Amino acid sequence: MKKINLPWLFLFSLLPLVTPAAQNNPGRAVMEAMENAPSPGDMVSDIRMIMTDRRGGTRERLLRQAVRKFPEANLTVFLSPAEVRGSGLLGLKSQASEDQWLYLPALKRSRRIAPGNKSDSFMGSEFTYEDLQGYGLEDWTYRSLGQEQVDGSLCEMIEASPLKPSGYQRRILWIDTAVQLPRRVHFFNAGPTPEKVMTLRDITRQGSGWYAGEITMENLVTGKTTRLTVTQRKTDLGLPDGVFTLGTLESGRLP
Amino acid sequence: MKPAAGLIVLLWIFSPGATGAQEVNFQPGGITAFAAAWRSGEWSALDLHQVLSLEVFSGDVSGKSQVRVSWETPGAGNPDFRVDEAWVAWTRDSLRWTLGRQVVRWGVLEALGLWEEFSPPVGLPFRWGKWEAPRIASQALRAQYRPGDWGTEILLVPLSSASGAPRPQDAGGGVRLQWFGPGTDLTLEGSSVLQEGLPPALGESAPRIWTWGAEGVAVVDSWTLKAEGAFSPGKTFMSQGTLQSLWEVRGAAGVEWAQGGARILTEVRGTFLEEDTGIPLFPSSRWEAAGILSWEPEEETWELVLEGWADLTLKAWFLHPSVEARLREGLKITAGVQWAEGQEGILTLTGTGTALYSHLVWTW
Repeated sequence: MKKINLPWLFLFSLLPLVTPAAQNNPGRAVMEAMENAPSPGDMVSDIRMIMTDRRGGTRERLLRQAVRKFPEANLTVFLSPAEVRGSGLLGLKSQASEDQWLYLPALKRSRRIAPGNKSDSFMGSEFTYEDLQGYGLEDWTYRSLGQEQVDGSLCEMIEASPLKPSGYQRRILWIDTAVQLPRRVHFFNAGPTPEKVMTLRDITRQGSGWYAGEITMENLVTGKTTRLTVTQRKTDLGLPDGVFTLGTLESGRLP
Repeated sequence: MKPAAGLIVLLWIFSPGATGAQEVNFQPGGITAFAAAWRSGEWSALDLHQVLSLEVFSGDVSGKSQVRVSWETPGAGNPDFRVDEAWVAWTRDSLRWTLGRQVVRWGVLEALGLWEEFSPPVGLPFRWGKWEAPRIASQALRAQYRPGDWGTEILLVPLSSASGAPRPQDAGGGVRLQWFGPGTDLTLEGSSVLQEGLPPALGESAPRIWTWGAEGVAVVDSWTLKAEGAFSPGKTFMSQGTLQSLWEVRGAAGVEWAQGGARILTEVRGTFLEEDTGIPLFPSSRWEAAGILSWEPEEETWELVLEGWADLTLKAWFLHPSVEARLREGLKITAGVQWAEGQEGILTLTGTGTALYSHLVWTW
């Protein structure tokens, strides 16, 4: 079972692969094409996270994130400010489970994130642990809602409804099939209007893949916004298995 | 130069990462903390703590040194100087060696853990000391190998502590075998330490305690279930001038629920001795319970916490509501009340009665 992971939103590129399950479901076919688009085996990114509250006050975090495609794994460590330096999150996915561990230097040990907490805010941002871990392709049903222009690009509108417990009741994605990336995602819970809106900007090609240089998550309920800006990206580093372990998480350092 | 410091320097010089033309990065940091406390009719205190840390990393080698200078009023011997941490680590793939003064946390429980002997908490294991490093570090050599869904760790604590802080247990070590499964972590472990708390007359002949046990965590929905068990085949007690060696069994379990900014944690610990020691503090069975309720809004600007602990056997309890406000990035203030009641010897660090305190902490 393949998963869609937020970090991989940087990576998706072109190569549709349609399975029998997708033949009768155009929405799923679009999602599978995005999922199966060629992308590097691993990537390390330096990211600036700016959190803005409803009054316009901002807090800034610098973090480094490593992601691996197979087996799927991601590791995020905070580089600054001092208050959160060394904190990190490790996510590992397998057929059997999705596991996450959080490390806080003050506690001097890692702790598991309970599945029910995956809809909680990640370090005060508008992204949740579930957003960072990603959404399994097989864990959602998909329905095509037609086509719509977003930022001048024609996008496929796909509605995704969860088959497993999720922090969201549904999502609507605007997929730009030219770059195999969503340009916009609406996150819904109770009610017809979205609670959060994620927007991908500064989409550029690097090697064989397309990447978003900026991702913004806006919470329409609280008025708060978190913006992620990629300041550096390295791909196909051949990261060893040892990177995606509790040892690296607790060391607070990534290559 | 102390032997440990010499070993650290040697490891640094001859470590593989230091031999190449690796870039050396320095990460300085610090904590400035002001604390005020008051207990009606008994005492008041004003403390200033300055913590300075420096992390150095180059290739596979990293190191950290953290020192603390404290001025305490009333206090003797001000300023008090202490080395919190001073270690160097070499990491290659899944293997990590760490040598020097380091905090070693085993166990999974938060308040009533059984595997705290290598870096025990300073005072009661509650958050009122959270602003500072609330644990005593060990002079240790630690090897951790965690290639994926399993891991192992070997710990050697060969030297006596050089810290100004009280050190309950010295020379010893331990070994762990860990498994990280779907939704579950399981650890088998064993340790050996010199026994604390016996009369000084025993001197060099302080008995050694071997402990074997296990710990585990399982996560289900919004719940985290934790358990620890430990068996010590021979623990020495001195009662009425006579030494007794008794086996001891300890078990502890905890349940945590968290959702949004709310968190509820309950832990229970039972301690059972082969027979009654005749010492009031060490009955044949002892039960303790602890709990934490906390809530913070999504923007994490402030937090309410209520902590409690009770010794159901020795009839002692501790209750601690507090509020923490984050004034700006890196700057926070905490205020709280501590109520404690119990017989002499159980609450020696907090004493009985009511105390008020406030901390102002700047992390930079």
